[in-house]
Amino acid sequence: MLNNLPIGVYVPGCTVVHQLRARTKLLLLVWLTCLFFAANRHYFHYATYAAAFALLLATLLLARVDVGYVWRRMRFLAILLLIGAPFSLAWTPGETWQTFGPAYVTIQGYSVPIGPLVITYDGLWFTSSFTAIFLLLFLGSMALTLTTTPVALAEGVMLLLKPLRRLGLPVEEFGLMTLVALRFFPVLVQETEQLIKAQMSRGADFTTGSLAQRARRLGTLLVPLVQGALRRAEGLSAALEARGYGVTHEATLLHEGHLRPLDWLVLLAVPALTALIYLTL
Amino acid sequence: MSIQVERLSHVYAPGTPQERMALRNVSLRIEDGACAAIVGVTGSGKSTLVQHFNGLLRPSTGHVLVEGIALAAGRKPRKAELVELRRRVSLLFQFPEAQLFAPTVYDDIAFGPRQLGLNETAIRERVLWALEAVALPADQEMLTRSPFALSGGQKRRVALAGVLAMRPRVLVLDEPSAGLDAEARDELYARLAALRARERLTIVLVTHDMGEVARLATDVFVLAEGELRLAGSPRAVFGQAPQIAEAGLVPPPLAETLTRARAAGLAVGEPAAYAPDVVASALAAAMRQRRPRAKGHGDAE
Repeated sequence: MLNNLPIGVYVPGCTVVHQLRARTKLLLLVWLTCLFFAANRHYFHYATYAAAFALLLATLLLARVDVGYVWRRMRFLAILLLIGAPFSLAWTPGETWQTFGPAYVTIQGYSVPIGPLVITYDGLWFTSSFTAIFLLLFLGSMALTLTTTPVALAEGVMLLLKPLRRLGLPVEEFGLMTLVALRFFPVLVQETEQLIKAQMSRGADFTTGSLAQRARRLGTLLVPLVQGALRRAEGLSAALEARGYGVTHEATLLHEGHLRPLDWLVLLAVPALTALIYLTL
Repeated sequence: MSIQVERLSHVYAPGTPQERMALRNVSLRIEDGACAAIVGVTGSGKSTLVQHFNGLLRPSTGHVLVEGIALAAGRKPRKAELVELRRRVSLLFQFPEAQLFAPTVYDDIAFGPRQLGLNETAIRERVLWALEAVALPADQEMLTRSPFALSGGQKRRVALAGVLAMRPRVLVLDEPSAGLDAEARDELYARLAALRARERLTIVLVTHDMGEVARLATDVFVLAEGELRLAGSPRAVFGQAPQIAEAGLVPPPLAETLTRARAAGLAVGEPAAYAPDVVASALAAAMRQRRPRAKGHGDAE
């Protein structure tokens, strides 16, 4: 019932891509984002996007990810972009490329003009490049989340944000909150699923009924869910305290250790390669 | 025939990287009025199997026939069929006390009967009957209490009353005694045995506690890695200690005692129940039979 939620997408593996630190992959994704927007300023230069696509595809293959699965996840975004494309094509001002129409349609004896549709060079470039950017960034984030456990990811974000602590931001506390939330989200989903099943076993029907009826049924789920969550939070805080959280200065991390030679290599090679392609082609 | 499962397989999350085959080609039969125990370690597929019995899950391949209602792969059951199926088969999940939600005990137990569309008199009758069936006082004080104010054992009884109030033909219980103390456990077993005898309920017990199996079950099905490994009477199944160990389980100590006694040449019959006193007298009887001279010697003195 709840198994089509887009969470827990991590697929265990031990490929090179899986072994990279979460920080490395996050930084590369940030780098790609910057690069894409820089490349966006050079009209009709698709080389950077093509190179990034090849790189991401190679990453997915290297990580032994089922490419068909990635495509199924991407399909929805692609359709959304396709629906949006005509609008951005038609309404971007700039130098004209082609004019279509106006076409005349007869409605109840009146001839109604449709168009003319003016497509500009700007419209063409921005529509195609932004479609490419969206799809590539989605692909990149898929490559990240499919090969990194959510916990490692949260630790990576926390480490990258650590400098902000100098500004007085509670980065570590926020990190712990994220970790706890990530850890317990699947538990909560599972519990909800079980509650729904338990009530279905007693004749409840979650799939039909008016909005008010459905809302009332949600109420019967919320009470035990909140109760369970509170009970768990209580246990968790006791467990944290029993393990000495807050007594020592700094908690160590389970997944994100030092960057290894492989990380450094990738961190240097990928930006260098893509920057070269961006500058020369 | 109450439940008939033919070549049932179930795959979770098909077509995703999380795809997992939880049941492989399982076939079994549970007779009317039987108490079937489905045993196996965590992840052996026992919960998946029983969720097919009231249509919460649908077969990926194969089919399930429960109380005359068929669920088969590739055919979406009609809504009326599912409603009827869930009326006849009640499923009580693990730690059901965590699933209570109503403001009063009465409302919680009445939830199921209300879904059936009964009138308030009939609902009240069922609530009182269910409370009595789980040995809770059916008085005004209990009915108006918040279920959250009860003790753990009482909460579980209220939850059991909640599914009994559906007046099912088949009662499926997922680890009903987990987390209960010895006394509450014995009390639960006694209640279940009484219910089965009085209401002619078919009971399906999901468990990994072999003691529970020994006390209640008439048939045992051992699952491991989604496959049915052993099936038969408790005696037949407990006798196959190596296979039970292979499935990651431990035979109940009393059954083990009997198996060893039989291996040593004692002709012990099947005890009426796997309770210490019953097994002990069965053993004593067998030993007396084997050594009549010792008995005669005692008489002479």
